[in-house]
Amino acid sequence: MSENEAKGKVERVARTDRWVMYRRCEVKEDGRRIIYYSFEDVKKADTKQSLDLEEPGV
Amino acid sequence: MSELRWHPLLREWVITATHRQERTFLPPADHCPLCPTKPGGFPTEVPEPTYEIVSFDNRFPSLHREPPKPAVEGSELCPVRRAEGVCEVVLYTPRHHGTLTDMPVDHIEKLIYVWTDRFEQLSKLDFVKYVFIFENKGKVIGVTLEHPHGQIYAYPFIPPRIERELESALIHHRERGSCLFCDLLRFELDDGRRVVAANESFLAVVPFYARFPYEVHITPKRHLGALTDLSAEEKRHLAELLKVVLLKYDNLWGISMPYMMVMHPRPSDGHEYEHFHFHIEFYPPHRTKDKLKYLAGSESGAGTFINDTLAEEKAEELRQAPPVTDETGSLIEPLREL
Repeated sequence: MSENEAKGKVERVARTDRWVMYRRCEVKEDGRRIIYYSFEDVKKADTKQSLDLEEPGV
Repeated sequence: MSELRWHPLLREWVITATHRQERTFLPPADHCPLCPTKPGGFPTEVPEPTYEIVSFDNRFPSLHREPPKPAVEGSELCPVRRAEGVCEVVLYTPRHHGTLTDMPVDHIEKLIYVWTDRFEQLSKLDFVKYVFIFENKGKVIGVTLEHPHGQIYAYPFIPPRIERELESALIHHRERGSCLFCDLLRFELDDGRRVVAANESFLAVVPFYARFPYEVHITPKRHLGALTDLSAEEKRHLAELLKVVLLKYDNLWGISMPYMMVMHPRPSDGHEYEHFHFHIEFYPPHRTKDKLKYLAGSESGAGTFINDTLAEEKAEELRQAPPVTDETGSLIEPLREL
């Protein structure tokens, strides 16, 4: 899914053996894009995914 | 107004961006537009009350996703184009004070992943031909906002400096059948005198042909074209080597060393460029603790740099700046944080 299509959605975009990186794209009031990157401990992220819980807010 | 004007003497584009004259200039810390927006506080560029790493479209961009009509009409001799492209600001941390040097290796590693994702995402735009990640650090460089940050310019053309490097790499490959950058890596490793630091995956040197006294190039030992080609281990090694080089710069004279840090990946125009080799270059403007190297007549008017120093001597100074390294680039003592 491209960034453009995923506005507002939290996407898992990278992973190491220690953390998972998420990306969330938003559009500001003046139309400019802002992209938030957040990181979560990999064990916590994997547990959430396996339980099919909602992705964390970023 | 924003447009591209063709420079027929140099055969390159010049970006005019008149709105940038009004951009925010060294605001006080409590009015920093790059800090998170505090509840009840003035709205900054980041609406959230906190963040980890953020990238956003520059409020005063040189290039635009939807560029305005040029201010002037071009001609066959001097064409004009709309300034199409993307300019992003990458916020390294929500904390106002500090620099990339102060950040833990773990955080620098995360930033590398962010840079990689930005490179990948911006490369997908069909009007983007080159994704240029860079950082201007220090007032003497012309930084207008102190909050730790870098920028990304996604150009609609391949910039002239990169075109020159591509041409050089291609000529070398045709003449010798090998990668110019790989050959330079071997040259520097065999010599040793200009090595600053190294690890399993990267080499940092003051290049033989340094144009700035303390110029450093960081090159991956494996032949690859962009951040997206790095393995997870290589990204980690890059974070570690960046930290070492940045610490050396600051420890040279005990000042927060100003610099321009620029990344040179392959172009993003859909062609392969197998002969090109990703690398990072640092241009600190200081030639001593108290004196700057200026781009004067020879540099600006003739394109010929004059370096008042010897690369070998400057590399030795940088090796001796903590964390101390030897001529193979290895740390004499382990970096505690690592």
